[in-house]
Amino acid sequence: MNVIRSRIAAITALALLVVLAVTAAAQAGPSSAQKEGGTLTVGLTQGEPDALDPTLARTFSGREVFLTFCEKLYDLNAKAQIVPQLASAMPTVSKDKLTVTIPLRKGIKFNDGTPFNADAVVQSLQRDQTLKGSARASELSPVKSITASGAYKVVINLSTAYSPLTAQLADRSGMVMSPAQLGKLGDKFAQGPVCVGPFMYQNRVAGDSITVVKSPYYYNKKNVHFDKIVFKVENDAAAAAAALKAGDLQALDTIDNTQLQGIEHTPTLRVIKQTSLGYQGLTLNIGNKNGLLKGYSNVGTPIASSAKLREAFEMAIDRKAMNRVVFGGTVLPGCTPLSPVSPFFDRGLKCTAFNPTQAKKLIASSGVSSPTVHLMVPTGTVALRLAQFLQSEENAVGINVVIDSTDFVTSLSKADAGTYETFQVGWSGRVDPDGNIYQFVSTTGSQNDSGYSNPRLDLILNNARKATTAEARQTLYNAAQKLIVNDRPLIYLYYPVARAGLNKSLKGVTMYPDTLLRVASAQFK
Amino acid sequence: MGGFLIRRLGAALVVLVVASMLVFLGVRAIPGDPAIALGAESRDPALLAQIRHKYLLDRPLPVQYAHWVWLALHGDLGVDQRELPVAHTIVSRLPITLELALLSMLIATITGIPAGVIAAVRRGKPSDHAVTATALVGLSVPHFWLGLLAIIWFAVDLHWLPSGGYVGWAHPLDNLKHMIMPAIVLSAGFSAVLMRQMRSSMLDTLNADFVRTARAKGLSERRVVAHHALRNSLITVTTVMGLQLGALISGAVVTETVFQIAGFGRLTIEAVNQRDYTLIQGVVLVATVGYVAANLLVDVAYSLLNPRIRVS
Amino acid sequence: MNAVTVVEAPRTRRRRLLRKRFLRRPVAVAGLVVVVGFVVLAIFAPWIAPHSSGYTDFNHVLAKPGGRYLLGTDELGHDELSRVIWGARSSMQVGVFATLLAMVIAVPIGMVAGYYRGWIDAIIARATDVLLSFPFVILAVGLAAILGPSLLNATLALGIGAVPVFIRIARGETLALREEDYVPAAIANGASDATIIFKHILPNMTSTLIVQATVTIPTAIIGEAVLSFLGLGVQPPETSWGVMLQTAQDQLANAPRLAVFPGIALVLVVLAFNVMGDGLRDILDPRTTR
Repeated sequence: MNVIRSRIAAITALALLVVLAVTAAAQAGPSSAQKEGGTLTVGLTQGEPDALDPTLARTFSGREVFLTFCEKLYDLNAKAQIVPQLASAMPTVSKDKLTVTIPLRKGIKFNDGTPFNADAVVQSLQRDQTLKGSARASELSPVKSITASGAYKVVINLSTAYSPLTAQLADRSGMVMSPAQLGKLGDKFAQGPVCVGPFMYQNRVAGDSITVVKSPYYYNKKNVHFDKIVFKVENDAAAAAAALKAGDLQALDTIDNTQLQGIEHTPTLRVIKQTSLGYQGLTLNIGNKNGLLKGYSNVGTPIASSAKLREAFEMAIDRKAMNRVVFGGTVLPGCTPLSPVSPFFDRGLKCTAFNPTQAKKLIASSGVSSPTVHLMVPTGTVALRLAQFLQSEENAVGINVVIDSTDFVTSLSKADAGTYETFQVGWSGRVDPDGNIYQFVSTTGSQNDSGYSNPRLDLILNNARKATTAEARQTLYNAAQKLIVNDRPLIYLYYPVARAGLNKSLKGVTMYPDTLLRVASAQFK
Repeated sequence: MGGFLIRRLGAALVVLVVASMLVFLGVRAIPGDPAIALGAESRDPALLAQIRHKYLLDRPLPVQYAHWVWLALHGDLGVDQRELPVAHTIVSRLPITLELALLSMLIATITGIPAGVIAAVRRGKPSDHAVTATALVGLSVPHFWLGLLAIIWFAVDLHWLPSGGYVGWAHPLDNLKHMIMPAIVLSAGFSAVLMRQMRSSMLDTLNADFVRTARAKGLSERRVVAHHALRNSLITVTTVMGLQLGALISGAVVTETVFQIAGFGRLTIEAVNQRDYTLIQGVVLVATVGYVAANLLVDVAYSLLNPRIRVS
Repeated sequence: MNAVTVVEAPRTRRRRLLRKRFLRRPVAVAGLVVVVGFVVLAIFAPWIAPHSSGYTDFNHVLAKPGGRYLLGTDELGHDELSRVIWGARSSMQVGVFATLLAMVIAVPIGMVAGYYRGWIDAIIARATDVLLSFPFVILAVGLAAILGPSLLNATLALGIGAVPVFIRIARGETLALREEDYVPAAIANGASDATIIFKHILPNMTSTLIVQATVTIPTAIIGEAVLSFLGLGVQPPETSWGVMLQTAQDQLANAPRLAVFPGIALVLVVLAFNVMGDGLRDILDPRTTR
């Protein structure tokens, strides 16, 4: 029976191949209006990528570049769902939830021509766990061991159930590096990274550009059209927009508010947008008196001591007006850690409405007369504009906000040390809801700058990490968000909406909820 | 001449060593943990500890300094936060700033020298007043504001020139289009100083005895001016270059920020913002070497042109 | 006692002479008038400016000049005119206090070096050379990065940045002045070093210091603008011309005027200081006095 089934499968596969070949041949005919080849120049506006080494990389811009030359075991689709990329199927999880098995694609090659297989995956994952300065180690911390089972199957043993693992493998932890190149460059892999991907790394001019060229080894070459993609680092919004208008850039990964109108009114350009999975808001120091992870200890400020004052603080903020004044209507106001593009967004949750009258009453009943709140703001035009808006809103209800503008790196140190009252900060967002919540509000969360501690919330979040069905996780995350919104260790203000500017001569450029600009399979019309 | 050179060289070396120490300590006095800057969105204490270990940030300062100096003496400036060699980064950025500086010095020279000569020859006439006033305004206008104005006029309103960015020498015309506005902006102050210096030294020369003698001998005024203007302008240019080198470096930082040119100045600001210690140290070391060397060259050139200086 | 009165009398006469000479230079006088005007603006900003510096009108964002707001509003609805006036306060504060700070630190050091000479002078002179090898703005940028961004720190950074120049001047002046006849005379009269330094040398270098101040103040004012422009100086909601220019850079495409007004104010002040300084230098120049 098995023999018959496999024979049928083989025949079907063969037939499919023939059909594919014929259609591909037909498409490649002269009727096609698309151009092959050419060089695409993409402007990166979110800072310069850091090390182009999947183990070490930490920046957003870096992820955009990796998309072209370093594929992952899993990827995201347009609906923020996880789909296989270098894996051939979704992972299977054992009954005790401690063993995860990942099947791999067969017959594909790294961009140095060496074969892709389970050994390579194991080597990359182990490097992620052990390399000095690895930014992946914490993402893979519940991973106990990784082994190859045959040439195309990887088995991961966990020390504890960890449902966000697949999401991690859909990001940099899931990137597979060529063992041959690792052998050559070792921890200097960033100077010549080689992965599986539609393009391969060519060179980099620090502070200026990164160039990738079409790969001759890629398994799906017919979906790759450009000869070359150049990523240009753009430090200034206006200059980037001008370059896009002039055609020096054909794509720009983010458009600054101030440039949006100009780009929308340029006939050769179009704008695509995507609500982010991340949020922006305020972290309120509730119990971080002695530093990060030192446990809850009353910090004694009015805003930390009085829940009423925190509620009043939120009530004083008109999120709609904020969107209009500060952002020119370009963001999506909201009040939870999960954005509406997350499959786990809670539609039933009601935000604290703008109500200055009620806010004044709350302040009166809080017993704090003419409260003063310090707001730490990382230097930067937009952040300071938001801070000044908040200051003016709070002033209207009688809360005096003092803006402490601090450079970004120092502000993070101060946030960790607990030497702040409120901190204007955001999070770029993760596919798995755990990545937007756990580390910030659980008692032992690695970025719990608020010093917030709620045993019930901890229990819910830990259960959500172990739950495997989507329904169960949804229920748990809804309950968690209710607690967070009520206690206000953070006040969420809005979800950024990423806008990319594209030349109309381009087609096939997309943006998924991770807001990374995906250009690898695009082409010129 | 030899003794003079050795003295100058020795002084330059001392400056270099002290400066490198100051920079090394200064960089570490900037608040903000570079490990956190490197950690980006991850602030896992274990990761931060590993980062500190990797970049030797957990070692005593003298050890860090010695390590850095030792490698630097071997031509290795270390790797920056992007894991790229610092030397490589600097080499790729330096030519951009050098081009900007040379271009602006060229512009300053071809505007400042003739204007200064004209003002001196026509002392008290309208053209003198015009030159003097222009120079005064040129000295008073900050580079970055002039840059903003230039962008508004020539890029935003007229669309004649790009508002910023840089194109390599592979496309000479594009390169010039991108560089001409920043170069003119940067040259403004330099040109103004040249005008003033040239005017006053020409005035001194034109009243000097030997020039009167030359005139008395029947040399035409044109030949007198041309002969003395030339030698004078050389001395003036070298003097001003020496005095203005620092201003030129500061100006380059600001101009590159305004015009978004990924040059050496911009690199410095980025490195400071990122708390990229290795990069800052490398950048400042190279800048100091360059600055000291340029000053040395100016001194030597000046003493060759004006032998009296060597004695004092 | 006798020696002091002998020195005093010609000094007042000289001062009157200088004043007369200064008033004969219309450009320098105009500079002085503008400087005084901005000083008045800076001191009386709360009464002159139509609005407070933190005033925002969210319903009139990026308003054009004219109408309710004479110079329009910026991207947060701040009144541009009020901000230019408040900015004068920041700029003047930085310029004057940074210069005073530099003098207070540098002049005693320079005088000690110049008066005692010897090893102490050698050390101070070398250290000054090293500090002078860093361009002023670069030094200030480094210091501002270390101290953190704020008006006070920008003042400190620019003040410390200007110290080496003042040391050099105070030292040079002292070296020259101690050779003047009245110093040996005072020593013969039994005056202490402190008396000689403060009663005889310091008063005689004031004019040189004032001329240098007219150079340092505008340099510090531009320095503040540069620091704020780079994000290392004054931080919103506090305002200064540099901050205004920094936020204006983002609005170049929508509202270029925002980059114009603070810039004009900045150039005006700096120009005024420069022509005033030129005038002062001309009348104090030994070649014209003698």
